[in-house]
Formats: sequence, structure tokens, C-alpha cells
Amino acid sequence: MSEYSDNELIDRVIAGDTDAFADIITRYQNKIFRYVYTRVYDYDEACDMTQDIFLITMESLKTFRKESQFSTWLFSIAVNYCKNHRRKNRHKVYSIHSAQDETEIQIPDIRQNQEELVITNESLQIMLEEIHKLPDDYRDILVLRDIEGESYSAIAQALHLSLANVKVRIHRGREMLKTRLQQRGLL
Amino acid sequence: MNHIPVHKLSEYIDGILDAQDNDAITSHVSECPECRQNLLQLQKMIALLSSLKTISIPATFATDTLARAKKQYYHKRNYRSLRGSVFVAAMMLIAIITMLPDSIKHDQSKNHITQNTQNNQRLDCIIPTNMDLNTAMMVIQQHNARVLDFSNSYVIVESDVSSFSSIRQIINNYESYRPNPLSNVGITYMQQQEKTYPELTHANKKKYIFRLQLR
Repeated sequence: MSEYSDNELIDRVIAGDTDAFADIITRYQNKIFRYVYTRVYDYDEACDMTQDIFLITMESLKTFRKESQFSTWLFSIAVNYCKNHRRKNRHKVYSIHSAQDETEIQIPDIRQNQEELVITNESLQIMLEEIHKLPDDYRDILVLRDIEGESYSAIAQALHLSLANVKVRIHRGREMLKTRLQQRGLL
Repeated sequence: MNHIPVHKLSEYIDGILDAQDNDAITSHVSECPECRQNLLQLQKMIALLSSLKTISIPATFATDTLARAKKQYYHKRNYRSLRGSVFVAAMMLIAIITMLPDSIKHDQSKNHITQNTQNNQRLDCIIPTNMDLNTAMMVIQQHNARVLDFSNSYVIVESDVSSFSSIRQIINNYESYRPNPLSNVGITYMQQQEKTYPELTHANKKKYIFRLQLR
């Protein structure tokens, strides 16, 4: 991965070095993809949407004023894109039991016991389903906080929320998810 | 003993409580099995959530996206360049036409008339008049005649025999108010030729096609 900072890469892209954008993509592709994937729960569609988000980002780079972190700005583009996408496709029904979804998730083989790994895989499938079913307000915030490990202030900036609101949503989202996972026998 | 609300446990896990609250919760969960259970469940859930970080996009994503971005970028640049050229060409054409001397423009209108030779060949007569285009159109509309072609200098009209007579009458009246040396020539020509026309009636639906030569 490139050693350049985000802002240096952005300056290079704006100056015409479009290849520098590959470094930006590599740096953030999985983060954006996971956010999109938990929303649509369709691997291929999430890939396409992530690509669109990066294309929009590349076109809009000149408007980035560097007042916030690039990752925050990128995330707000992703959030808006997903909201618009939902609005356009609100009649579309996504399959939540796609065979491909099960095969695409890569679980790190950190445990020796094969049986435990299978259980973990099943747990993650349940987790994905349940987080996908959460209301947008709670899902977005849990993805950012508990999957991506973003700070409260970064989340507040990306989602245009106050810090107090972020706190409330995090604990309500966790509480809701915990109840659902208990019902599924995961906790 | 009061149990710790879930939101406090959540903030405890995230480490955003002040030292006093933090210590109080640490002490409480060590003694309260229910709160300890709640805390463990929350921690397990967060650990499960964080393991979703292993989900990744295909390895070729960056190169595929960059290729598409470049294609889109160059396509847009070419489009903008083409659009600019078309705009410049259009502006030059407008400038050239504006700068043309009136005589050439007049010739062009003559040429336009000669281009309508097909219509001219079918003409039953030509009626010069002092009317302007708007007045002529109004008269034609009032008599339910059909306009086949027109420009600022002429109107080619198709009408039945009664409408033709009425229009001709109105033009004669109009010319009597506004004498036009040419108008007599036209009428004379028509009158001379009239005898050679077949007899026109409503019954056989025969139409006159004539040209009003405007001032």
C-alpha cells in the first residue's frame, strides 16, 4: 500500500495522476464494501455499489475541502449513495439466504478446532442477517463503531449527528441486536 | 442492589465513562452475576460484530474500478471537447450568416422560391399582393384554405373554388386601398389564364393551387 497520506494522494489525482486513485481505493475498499454489504446483503450488488461510490468520489475529489478526514468524507458519500439507492430500489426484495453469500465470507482460521470454526461461520451468518435487519439508524452506527472501530466523533461527522445522539444510537442498537441474537440462541 | 443499565455497560465497554463511573461498574459486575452476564453478552456480541471485518471485496476490485474510472474520465473529456467544438462552429456559422450582405440574403430567398419548382409547376396562378405574411395567413385561415408552403415573400395555398374566389375578392379589395402596380399584372395574368382552367366545382372536389406573392 502507498505511503502517501490521503491528502497527498488526492492532490496527485486532482493534478491528473489518476493511477494514484488506485491507492485510495485499496485503502478504503473493504471498509466501504462492508458498510454497503450489511445494508444490501447481496455480495454482487454490494460490489457494484462500492464501485459506483468510488467513481462518484473520484469525480467529486475537487470538492473535498480537507476540513475533515478523507475517510469521513468518503463515508458520508457512501451513506448518501446507499440512502438514494434504497429510495430507488425500495420495491426490490433482497435474498438473505444466498448460497454465494455463505461462500464469500472469509473467516480467519484462528482456531484449531474445526467444529468451532463451523459454529463461528454459522454465527457470523446469523450476525450478518440480524445486522442487515436492523433499522438503518442503528445498523450504520454499529457497523462504524463495532466493525470498523471508528471513534464516536468520526461517526458523528460521517452521519451528521451530535455526539449525544451517537451515544444513544450505539447503546440502543446494541441492545436491540443483543435481544435478537438471544432469540436466535447466539448469546 | 440496582442493576447497571445497558447503556452504561455499553459506554463502559467503549471506555468513555469517567474514572468514578468506571470503577463503580467494575466493582458492581464483580459482585452481581446478572450484570456480569449482561456485560459478557455485550462483549461477545461486539466481538462477533468485529469479526465481520474479515469480509472483503475481490482482489481485482481496485484495478477494475480504476479502469472504469479512467474510461469514464476520458469519455467525459472527449465529450466536453466535442461539445466545445460544436459550440464554436455554431457560433461561427451564426456570425457568418449575420454578416452576409442583404443582397445575398435576398438571393437566397429567391433560390428558396426556385427550389419549390415542383409547387410552382402545379400552380394555377400567381397573385401579387401588398399584404404582409400575417394578413395573408389570416385571410387564408378564414376561408379554410390549406397552406402548402410559405416564406416571408410568398404563400402557396390550396383551396376549393369558392374559397379561391373569396380570397381573390378580398385581395382585390385590399389592393384597391393600397394600390400596387404589380397586383394588376397578377390578376390580369390570372384572368387571361382563367379560361384555360377546367371548370371547378365542389362536386368534383377539384382544388386550386395558387401563390400569393407578398410585398
